[in-house]
Amino acid sequence: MNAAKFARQLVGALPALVEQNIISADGAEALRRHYAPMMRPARSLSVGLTISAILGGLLVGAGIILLLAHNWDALSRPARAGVALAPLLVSIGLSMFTLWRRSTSAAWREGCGVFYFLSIGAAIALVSQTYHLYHDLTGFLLVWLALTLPLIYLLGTGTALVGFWACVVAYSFRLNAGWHARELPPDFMPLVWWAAGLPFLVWQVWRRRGSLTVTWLSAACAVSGALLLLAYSDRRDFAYWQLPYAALFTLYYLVACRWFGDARGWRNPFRAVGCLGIAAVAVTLTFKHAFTHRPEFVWPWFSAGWALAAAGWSALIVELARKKLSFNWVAALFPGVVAVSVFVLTGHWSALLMNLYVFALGVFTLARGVRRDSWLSMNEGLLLLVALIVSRFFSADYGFVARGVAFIMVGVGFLGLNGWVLARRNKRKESDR
Amino acid sequence: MKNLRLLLFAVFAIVSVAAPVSIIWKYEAALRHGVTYKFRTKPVDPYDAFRGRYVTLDFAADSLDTANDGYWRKGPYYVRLANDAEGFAKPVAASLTPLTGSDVIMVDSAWNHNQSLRFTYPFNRYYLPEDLASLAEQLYQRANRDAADRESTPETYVTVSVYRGVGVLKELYLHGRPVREAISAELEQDRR
Repeated sequence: MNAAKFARQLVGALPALVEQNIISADGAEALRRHYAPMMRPARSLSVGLTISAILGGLLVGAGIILLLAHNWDALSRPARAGVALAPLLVSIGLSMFTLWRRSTSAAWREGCGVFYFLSIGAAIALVSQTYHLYHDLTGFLLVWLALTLPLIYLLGTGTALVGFWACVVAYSFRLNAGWHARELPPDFMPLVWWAAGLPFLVWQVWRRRGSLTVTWLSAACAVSGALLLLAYSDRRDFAYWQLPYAALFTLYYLVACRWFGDARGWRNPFRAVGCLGIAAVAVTLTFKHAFTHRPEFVWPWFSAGWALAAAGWSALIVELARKKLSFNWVAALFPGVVAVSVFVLTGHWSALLMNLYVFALGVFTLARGVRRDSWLSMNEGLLLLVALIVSRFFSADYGFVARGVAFIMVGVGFLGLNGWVLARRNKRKESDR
Repeated sequence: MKNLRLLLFAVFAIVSVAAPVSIIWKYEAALRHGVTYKFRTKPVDPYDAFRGRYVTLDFAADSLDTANDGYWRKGPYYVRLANDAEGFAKPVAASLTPLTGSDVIMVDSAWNHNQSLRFTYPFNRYYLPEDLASLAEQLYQRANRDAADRESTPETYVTVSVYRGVGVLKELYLHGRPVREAISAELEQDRR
């Protein structure tokens, strides 16, 4: 129990203790005086306040952007420049006040953070509108990014970080996606920008791992990381696309096992995105055509990225094994299997290896779920097997009877296993009584 | 610690205000001290959620004959301008190394196809209040139709102030009139 919660409970219990003559009124007053400063609003209340502040900042900021977008013809150019700077100056004032007087309040920090973030964008946009500036979205996003990064760390605001990562993804698509970018060397600056936001997340994880802030920041990190990779996927030189995706999603999974092992479902975004990604990429690679496209050339930076991912992957596996933490070994081996499929085997054999791998992953996940009595793992394993079978039976020339029998068998297996586990649980409950 | 954080934040706040102010400064200087050129245009009317309504501008004189082919790289390119016989701007030279003079403008990107170097001018949007932009587009379409009927060039163009490589849009002209004047005249005619 944290100090604030203990203080709230103790002060709440004081009248009853005095009434029952367990402590004197003076003693109760002394305790109340001692514990009162430690009492902070209940977590649900502070979370509610923070969400309200974020929504407030978001709505006000978005409203200002829309008002400015109207393009006020009646205002002179200097007046419009002043209007462009006004929200920025207000957000600076509010942020200074927050740092000075309300630095411990998440609601103030997050509310001011989102308002400041939007004010920066609104100021640049209105100046661009006033001077009819070139449709340079890349430059616009770059300035916005550069001005938001210090804000995240100085104000300690997670909402600005989410906006920052969204801008990084858009910036990466501008630089690396589309026909004009395909002929040029890949631009890796978006990855550097994205990584620049990571220390804030690490800091939050270190301070309060189980908090809601860490959950939604992790979700933003996991999703933006995957989208960032997607920006490069349209490139001619981004062949061997299988490997970066396999590495990224496996890294997510291993990070989740190492630092967020206790959390389940939506409270563990790295695990959710990682598992979903591994399953999606693995099933896609069971099709033969996934291996037909070979790159004409590969920029050396891509190789450096693979080397970095391989180093992180190995380090995490060693760390998990050293700490004796539980994780799915077959899932962890995913990038290695993909590397063999891509570099050692070709066409039909690559796809065959991936089919065997997905089958092994499904069975292992299912068995692991049964062993640990984890409903989630069991269903994950079964869904993977179903996905594999559905893919095979839609892609290959098998007869209707064979398909029908296979589907029935898997369905019966699905129901039977769930029933068996349910019975086992009921039996355990009875024996516990 | 708190004071240091406040101090750093103050520095950051100054930088975040200085960024838009520096843009304002740069383009105000171009408007006040620049040389004015006229560019023929072909507007359409899209929508930008951040920056409101605008007319996208495409320019007739946006290429230069060149001896090379198949060359493409990111800018900036330096383009020297001159006026043609009708008083409209046209590019006369382009270079990857800086050119000097009050007739030089910096463009962001260029591509080379069929021995013609095409580039994008750094002023391809003219922003208008949301209630005027759609009318501007209608007028433009009509100007085009009328010009096609008469087999002549539509009188749609912009004036641009050029100063130290920077170009800033001053005005959009439809039927040879400033866009707001053209719209007012059109509305007046409709009322009658």
